[in-house]
Amino acid sequence: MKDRAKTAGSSSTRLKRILYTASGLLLLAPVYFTWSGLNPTPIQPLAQQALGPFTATPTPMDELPPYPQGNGFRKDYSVVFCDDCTQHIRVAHLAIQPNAPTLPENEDGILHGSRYLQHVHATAPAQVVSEDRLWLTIQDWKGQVWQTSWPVSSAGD
Amino acid sequence: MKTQRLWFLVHGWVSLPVWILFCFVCITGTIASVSHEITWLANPQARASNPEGLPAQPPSAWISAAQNALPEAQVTGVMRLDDYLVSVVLMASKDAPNTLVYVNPYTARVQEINHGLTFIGFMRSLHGWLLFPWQASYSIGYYLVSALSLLLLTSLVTGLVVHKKFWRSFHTPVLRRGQGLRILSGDWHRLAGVWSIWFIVIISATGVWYLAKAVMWHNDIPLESPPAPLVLSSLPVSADGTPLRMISVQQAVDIALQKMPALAPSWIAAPEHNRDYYRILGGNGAMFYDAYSSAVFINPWDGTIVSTQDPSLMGIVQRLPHLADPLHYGTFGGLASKLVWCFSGLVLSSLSISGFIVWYQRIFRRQRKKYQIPYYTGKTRPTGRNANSGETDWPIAGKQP
Repeated sequence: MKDRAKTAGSSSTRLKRILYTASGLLLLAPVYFTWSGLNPTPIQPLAQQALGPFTATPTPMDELPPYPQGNGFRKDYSVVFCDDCTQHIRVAHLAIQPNAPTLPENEDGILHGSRYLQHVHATAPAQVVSEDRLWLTIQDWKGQVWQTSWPVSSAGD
Repeated sequence: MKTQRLWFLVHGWVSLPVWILFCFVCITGTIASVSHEITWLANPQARASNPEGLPAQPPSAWISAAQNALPEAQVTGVMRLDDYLVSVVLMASKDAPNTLVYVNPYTARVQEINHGLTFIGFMRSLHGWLLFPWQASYSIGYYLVSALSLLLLTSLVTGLVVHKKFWRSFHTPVLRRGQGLRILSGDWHRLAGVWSIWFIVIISATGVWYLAKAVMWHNDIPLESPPAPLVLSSLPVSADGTPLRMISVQQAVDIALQKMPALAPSWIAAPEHNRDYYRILGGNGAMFYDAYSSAVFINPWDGTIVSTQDPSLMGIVQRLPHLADPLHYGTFGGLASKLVWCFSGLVLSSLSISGFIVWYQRIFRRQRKKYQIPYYTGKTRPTGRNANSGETDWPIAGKQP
């Protein structure tokens, strides 16, 4: 009887110790994330392309596949335009799909940010296939629309 | 007796395995609650010195000063902090997409240009989600930290059930010194726990709200309904392609103040794209609402007000986020309430440490003595021959040999 109580007590203590150690080790995570935040893995930008008077260079924010958001999927990019070009853009959208999109009326995949660096949650399919391309659609202040596209891998980069 | 023991076991199981993580979250939260004040102490450039008692200048003056310091950079937002701290103009340039320009709000003098992470931001991120990265709409760290509130709440309830007649600690507090670490830790754990009931309730209840909020974010359930972006066809067109100009930040602020005279702008966000709005957020003087509870959304092209946000017109779900933050951070009463929160946070941190000491000493003393310790008597205060040993103060998990 005594042995059984002893066994039960020690196994409970052992489990507590294991959980305690695990929660303690969890505190190494902030150290790792601080280090990785200060030493980010550089991601290769896509090739610069021209769209009429503009040039654009998108860079994926990560090498992961599209993530679910709302009723669809998204893939994040940053986009750098030619110097002083952003102020000449009325609206711009980025999307991953097989065919050239029309300029959307909603804000899905709309480019936003500063004139030096734009950011976008591009619309994307759940799984990027070889037919898909990354489409950039720009409308300038005169209402003229410009488009270009890049091939994308299964991770959208 | 059995029920009592069960409650005690639950108390131990929800606290002990995570005590070190919980303690870390408590300590970082305590520091975060006074992070503005620590910044004020540590960085003279972050102080809004105002020896001449000047009135605060308008945001346009801060922006103008920041723009003079960094002529090539673009203003993306303005933050107004506590009266004794600088205002911050957020700017983006080619080499530094996230630049913070510290401007004295009274003299409009630029005091520092900061390109890195601030102490305030770092402490809040460390406390809030342990720096775990955000995956679109969720962070594992945010879930972990907010889930601790459930354990804290359970710990409070079970602790009060185990500690019979806990209210005695209010009028006859017991803190025996000179009788060993275990006795002192046990007494402190009960005493501090009882005196911290109000604080534990506030922190755990707001923590549960943050957990619910995390679930809502993760599942794309909107907490608030910002206005839809401007319709594309409503944007102006330039016949010759010359870029058009939005109204200025100061114009937007003036329009917002005309609409809401009680608004004290604390966050002014410039439109992020041409279909976006100026967002002027601030407090409205109500004590328990945060500094972003009132808002005015303004069309940047014609200055019309597209939408407003007024706490008095909100539903309960919309009000909760604006009530939770001042209560969790202790900001509702200015410096005084922040200091109370900081002290209470330290006490809460000590609860996890003292609880661990009691457990550790009991377990290892028991192992050393090979189970030769008295069985739990159910007394909440020491009596009889063990009055000074403290052995009867806590239920013992094992059986008496």
